[in-house]
Amino acid sequence: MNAHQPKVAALLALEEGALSEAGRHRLLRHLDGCALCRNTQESMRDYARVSGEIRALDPPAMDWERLMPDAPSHSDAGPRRVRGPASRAGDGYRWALAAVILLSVVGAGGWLMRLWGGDHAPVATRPAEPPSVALNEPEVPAADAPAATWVLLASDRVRARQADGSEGATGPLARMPEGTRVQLWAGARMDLATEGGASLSLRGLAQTASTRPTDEADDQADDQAAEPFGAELVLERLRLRHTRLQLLRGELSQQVPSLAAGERYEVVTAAHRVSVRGTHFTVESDGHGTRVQLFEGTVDVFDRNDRRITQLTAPSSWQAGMHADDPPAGVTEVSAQAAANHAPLQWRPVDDAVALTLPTLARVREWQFEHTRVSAELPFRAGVARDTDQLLATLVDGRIVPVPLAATAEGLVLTEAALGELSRARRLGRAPGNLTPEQLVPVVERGQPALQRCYERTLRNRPDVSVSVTLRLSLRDNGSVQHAALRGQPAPPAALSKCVERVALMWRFPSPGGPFTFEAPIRFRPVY
Amino acid sequence: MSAREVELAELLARAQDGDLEACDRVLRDCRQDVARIAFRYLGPSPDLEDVVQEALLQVYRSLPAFKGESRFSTWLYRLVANVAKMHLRAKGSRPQLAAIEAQEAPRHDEGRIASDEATARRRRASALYRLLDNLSDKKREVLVLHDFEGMAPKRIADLLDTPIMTVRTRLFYARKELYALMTESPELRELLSELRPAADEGEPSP
Repeated sequence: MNAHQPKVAALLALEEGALSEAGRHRLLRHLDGCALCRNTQESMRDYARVSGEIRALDPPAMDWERLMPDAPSHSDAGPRRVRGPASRAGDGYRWALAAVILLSVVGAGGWLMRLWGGDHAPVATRPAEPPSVALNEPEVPAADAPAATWVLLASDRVRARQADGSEGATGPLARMPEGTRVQLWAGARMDLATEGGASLSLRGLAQTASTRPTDEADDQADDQAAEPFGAELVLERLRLRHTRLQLLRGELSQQVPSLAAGERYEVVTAAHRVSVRGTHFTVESDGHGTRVQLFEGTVDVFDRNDRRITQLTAPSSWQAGMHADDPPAGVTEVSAQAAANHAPLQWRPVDDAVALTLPTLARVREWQFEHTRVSAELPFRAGVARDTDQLLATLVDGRIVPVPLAATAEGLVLTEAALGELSRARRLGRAPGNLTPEQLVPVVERGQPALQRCYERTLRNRPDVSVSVTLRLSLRDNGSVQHAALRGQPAPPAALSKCVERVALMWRFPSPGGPFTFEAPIRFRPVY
Repeated sequence: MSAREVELAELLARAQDGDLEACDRVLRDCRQDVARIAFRYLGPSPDLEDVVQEALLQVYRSLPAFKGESRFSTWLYRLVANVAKMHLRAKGSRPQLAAIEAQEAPRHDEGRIASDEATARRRRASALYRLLDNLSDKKREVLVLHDFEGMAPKRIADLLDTPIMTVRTRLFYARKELYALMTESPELRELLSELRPAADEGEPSP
């Protein structure tokens, strides 16, 4: 097959009028018969238009003068109002003072950003509807004062119990005080943001034979009492300079900003303590063992006697005593895909946030907004910026579509049209395709030598790799592979995943007659 | 040295000596540049405020280390660019918004979607910036500096401490990759169709 490359250099010269007359005629003749080059030429012209627009775009207006406090010499007139990371500015008094001033400005500048709907609105006036979820900004606290923690997202089947035993609020932007015990049933999720700048996402694990409910779980009086919790987290210490979380059970994914000297962030499980300096990581506990997945930075793992067991550097995974059939304690690599699957909401609460309410819908598998993905298995509510006008839905057939939102007195909800469309069990006019195992297996088998080469290449650097994985393939109507993803627990090495996915994208199956997704189990084991 | 440069040098010297008012002045003077540079690297992104925040903090922290070996504007550019690049790199390990099949989108609620030209421009810019995520760091940087910031290749070469031919080569291949990505992106193609002359004469969209 002749793999023609578009004549970019010649096309650029043509656009700039730099071709000779003869060269110009030759290229125009070629363009008449070459759709690829015509498309490229169109893209070039589009790019020239859009890049021109971007050059003319100014950053969104930030009302520096209105938001900038008095000169530093007058700054001791009263406590500053800050939000989020502002209180974590520098160490020395001199710089800290300046930083508080600075970050107050930037924080409020961010508020303007979220209102930025047009080019660069000068000083945005807040729209009257929908009403915002009230969020009282804290005064600048002392370093060891309790730090505010907000709920960003909470699905159904979650609860919070405060230190005095009373029921705590779990709605969007509700505050969680120190000592709160967060309890989630299997499949539920709650995301939190701390004033120190950390983002947390707690998820309830499905129960296994090895997991046992705690005493508290047995005490529940409602219908869910019989079912043990899938996650329990105690917000043991929430201070500006020290965060300590006790994970009794469940999966806790965290994104922690770089900590300054003297600041601590740690997660404690039944047997281990995980201490970080600023990173993206996940800790999972079934009540006995611990699994740590590290996507950025470095973490230290200690036993409960404070003896350091290991120091992990991203990307890596470590576990000890989780499930009986898991591999023994050790360090393995984790993939970027795993990081994506465990990302907490990164959004910082602002004072014009509104509640977004999402139901479960027949056609939606997952929601995407604010740079995270949320399973659509349970209904949930989240706090989002007021100007959010759409989110993305991953449908059960793997397609991703934008979904518009409507403002109501209660906050943001799906529009009636979107609700109707996504509630239908099947998209009209396009039935999903189908293929039998007899049609699928021969294609996968033909691809085995290439998979073997991927594995052998991985073994050169990682001679101990032995994994059981699942290759998920989404096919187009014509049988070509639209999307390939290799997943496993523990996660396969990134190099192996990339290679296998690249190979699988070249496979060609019989036409399924519509979009079709299936999974193929693959086991990679060395043969000695 | 111009009077402005002399004034800046004095201000920087005072700031480095711990004069808080001078620090404040430096920050006031450069904050628009910080916002602009960060904006060029990130585009219309909800993360912009975070990057500007981090960059301004870095300016504060790094001011004592500024030795005047390069122009302050160059030093500032490198600093903000580094913060933006670190952010983009970190973002790479977080979930990205996947390509949207625009033709399959449910119909929008007309009341919610603003249709003014500014919003359209911002959407086109956002779509183009999403494609930039597919370029390597080096190609993206050169493309942003040249095509979006309007910087000359010589200045880019100085800024990146790279031969000018390398800058030109990266720019060529960055554009080439981008054209190919644009051709394959249905989302961007749909947005761009509004820009093409033929579309102006067509029927208004429903």
